[in-house]
Amino acid sequence: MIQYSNYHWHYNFPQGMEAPRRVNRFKEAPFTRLKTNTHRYQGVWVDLEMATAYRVALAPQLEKLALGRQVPSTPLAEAVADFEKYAPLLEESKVKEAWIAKVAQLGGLQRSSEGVQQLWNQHLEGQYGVTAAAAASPSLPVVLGVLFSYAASGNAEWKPFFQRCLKSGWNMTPHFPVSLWNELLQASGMLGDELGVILLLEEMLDVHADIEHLDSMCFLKALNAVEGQESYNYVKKYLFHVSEAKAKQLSRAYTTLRKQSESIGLKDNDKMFYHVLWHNSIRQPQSFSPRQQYFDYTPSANLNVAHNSNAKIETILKDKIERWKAEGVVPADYEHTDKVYDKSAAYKNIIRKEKWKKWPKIVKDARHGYTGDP
Amino acid sequence: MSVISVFAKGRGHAHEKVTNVGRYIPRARTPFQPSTFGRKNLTKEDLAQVWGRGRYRTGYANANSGYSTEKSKVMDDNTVTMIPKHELEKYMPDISLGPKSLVTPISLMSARNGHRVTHDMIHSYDAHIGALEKPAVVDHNNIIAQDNINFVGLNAATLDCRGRIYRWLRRGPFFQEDQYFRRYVAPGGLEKAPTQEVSLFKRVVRLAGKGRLKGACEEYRKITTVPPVEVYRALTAACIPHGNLGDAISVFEDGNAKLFYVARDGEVLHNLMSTAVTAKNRPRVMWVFNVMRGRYHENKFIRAEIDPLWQYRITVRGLTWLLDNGCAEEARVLYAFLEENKMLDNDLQVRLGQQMKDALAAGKPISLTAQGLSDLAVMKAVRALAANLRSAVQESQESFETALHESNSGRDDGALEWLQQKFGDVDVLAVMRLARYRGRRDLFAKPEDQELFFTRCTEWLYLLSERQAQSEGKPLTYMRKSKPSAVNENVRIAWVPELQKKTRLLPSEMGMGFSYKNGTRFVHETFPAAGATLASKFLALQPIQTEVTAAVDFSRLSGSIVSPPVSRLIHPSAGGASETRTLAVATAAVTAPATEGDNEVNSLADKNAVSMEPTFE
Repeated sequence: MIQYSNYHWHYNFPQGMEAPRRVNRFKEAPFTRLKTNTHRYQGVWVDLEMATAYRVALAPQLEKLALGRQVPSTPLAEAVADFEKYAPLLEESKVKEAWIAKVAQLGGLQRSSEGVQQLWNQHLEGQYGVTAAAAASPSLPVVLGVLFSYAASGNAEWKPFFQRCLKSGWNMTPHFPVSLWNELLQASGMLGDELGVILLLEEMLDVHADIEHLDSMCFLKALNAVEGQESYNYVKKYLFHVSEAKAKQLSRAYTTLRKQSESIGLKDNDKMFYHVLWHNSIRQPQSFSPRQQYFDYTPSANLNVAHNSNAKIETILKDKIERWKAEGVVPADYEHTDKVYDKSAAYKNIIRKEKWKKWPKIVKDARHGYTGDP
Repeated sequence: MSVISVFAKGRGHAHEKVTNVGRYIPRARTPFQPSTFGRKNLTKEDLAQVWGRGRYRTGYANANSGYSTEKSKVMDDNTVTMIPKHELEKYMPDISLGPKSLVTPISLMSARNGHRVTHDMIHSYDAHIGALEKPAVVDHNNIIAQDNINFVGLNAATLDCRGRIYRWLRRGPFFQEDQYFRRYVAPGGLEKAPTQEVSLFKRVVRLAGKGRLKGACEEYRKITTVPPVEVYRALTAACIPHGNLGDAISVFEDGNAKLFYVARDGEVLHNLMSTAVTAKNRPRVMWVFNVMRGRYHENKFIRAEIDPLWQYRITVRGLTWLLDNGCAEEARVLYAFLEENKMLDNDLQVRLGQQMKDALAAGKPISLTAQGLSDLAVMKAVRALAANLRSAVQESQESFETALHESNSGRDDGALEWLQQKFGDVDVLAVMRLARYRGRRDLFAKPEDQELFFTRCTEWLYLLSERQAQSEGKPLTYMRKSKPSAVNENVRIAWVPELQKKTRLLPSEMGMGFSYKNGTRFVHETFPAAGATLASKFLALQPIQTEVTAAVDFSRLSGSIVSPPVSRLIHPSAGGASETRTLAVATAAVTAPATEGDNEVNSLADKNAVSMEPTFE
């Protein structure tokens, strides 16, 4: 019935294709998934930049470290001890550096930094210098590894180290993977380092880090630490950099986080929680729910002040505005500047001319509104 | 009492810590029904009551289900008292097996349309269908008939059930299996994948190690979690001896993209390469090489990059086979990969690394230097053999090439330089090192093997060196330039040296170019001398076309260009296949020596040409 009606295609017409569609051709949607990709490597990857000969020579020691994707169960102390034992025999500092990077990564994967800081201070601090800046810059893997272990273990040392990685220092931040940003944010948040959080947020924005794919929990743990007014204002603006979907995800993750906050030792930050929820509410499309919105609305069109039929619109409007001001519908300092062209005045002029006709008297009643009846 | 309600009391499902802040932000409700009272708002008692209903005879709300908690039931004004279980058992023996009997193994999932649970309610592995307040999780150890522990079943007729039933009916084809794998088997990817079933893994490895591939694969089918790499190593290794390439590939593919790239491992790929070599499958050798290199996705995103040492081993395994079988193109690709990644000296590095390892164990300092690499015994042996290789190369050259070569074969000291110069784009020393081992045989060891080594090395150098291949090419014949003749489209006037004698112009300057089609024939065109006849005065000049070959074979000409061009007169009436004429002639001219008859004809034609050349002055 519907198919063959006048508004569709009748079966007696030639049954061809009406128009070719190219929906997927001219504006393609980028691939996004609702679930996280389970294939992705989730830790911070640290490359092993070592010549083959050294790899073979150090094989028994390197086997204890995370060469592949699986985390070995070697105690970090053992890895550090291995390094301390054999490092004096290595003549190239680059090899030592690569090895330290891997040891530090193991620390990060096991969430501890015992001995990593000591390794850095003893072997690399002199060359590169976090505190007393040197000209040389270390290789990327060692920076990633050490920072990862600091962040994962919640070591407050992450901050000076990170500051040395900025543009003015080694300029390593553009190469940070998302997982490292996650760890850093989480570390600073759990330490309650508000300025550190702001520093990280700012830097992430500057180097175009992938804010969309940050782990919401880590992001929120960082935001949760923000208490001061200035930082709070900064976060308010910052949240507009995340997408709508991410804003939603953040608000949901925050509710989960807040339920767990006691068990993971996080303070309740009502202000930030409210703001994240509020931000989500303004970013989402608004659905119209009239019963809710106008639940206690009293129509104020029916004024107690009765105007007679000859009343001018300006007068009526003025009265209404006064009324609205009293009700709080418009602000008290509201001034109505628009001019209204009163059509009814012209109409009434016509009526006035045709006096020979008998017109019903126009009465405006508060109860009945405008009816034609007297 | 103006309020009639179904449930006296409900409960909020959100946490208080969340609601005390969240309620300050208005949440838009469904416009036509702002207040929602769903399944998750039921109190525990109400929910337990509701959950027994809507399940026909099996739910515990039904008095005869056996799970009812009522003591008695009124049927048509007769009160029937329940018979307790212990009395029932007197005449109806109890054969209950416990909750395990409600769960079938994972291997039966597809036979049972994706289910493991044989409960009367459908148990979905999806988080949403059975969700109450939290995502639904099916606890396979505690499935009970009542299902009133976590309420995850799909109840057919209860509050809130309709949308869930719709969702269930709209599920995708691999809904259950997929959700089960993602949420229960390997929720965290490879890093968090459980490695239970250790004994099963060991059994697979053991069977495969014995070479019982089929038995191992049967056991492999029983694995439910992500198996460790060793399983794949063992399985692919079992494929090598008989060259079961298809099996090896599917084993690898199974563990590759499906199971978090577990099987993307150096040793597995090395086994795969060995299998491809055993099966003598050239495209698969290249495929394994390609898989080994990986893409951004595997190398950087998944971080399943093959260790460089293994990359070297795999490439060399393929490269030696390709070179032994004369696959120059593929071999060059593999060789270029080694060169690009600076892996050509990897074997040296490994040898040095072993020495360094021993030194470390002895507590001596180690360092990696170029000197250390070149001082290795292999390098010394290889350098010692360079002179012999040079003479081998020269011999091989003499055997098929007539051109002159540098006659410096007497000296030994320049041998390496000579080789390096000759095969400029190949690292000769690296190739010699590669050619040293054939299988497990060291070709340096015995003199007769050394002969093999030299021939092998020579062949390899010729195959690998592109520059050499270019200069080694057989001399081809030269195609003539030509211009169209007026009479026939297929007949073209070709460039012949007589024209050069006359004009001193280049062929291009005379409007000649390269053109050849299937039926094209090349001729030398002359015109008869115009006599004082009526025919010559009023009729058109008829060109005399002498057919020449399409190409000139300079190798058959002696040093200077004095001799006439190698051309054969082919008269149309002389017979022969006219389609294959032209090029066949050209190649025939290359191979067959010119006969006297040909020469005579040529000279005749030349005489005619000279004498009958029309003069237009």
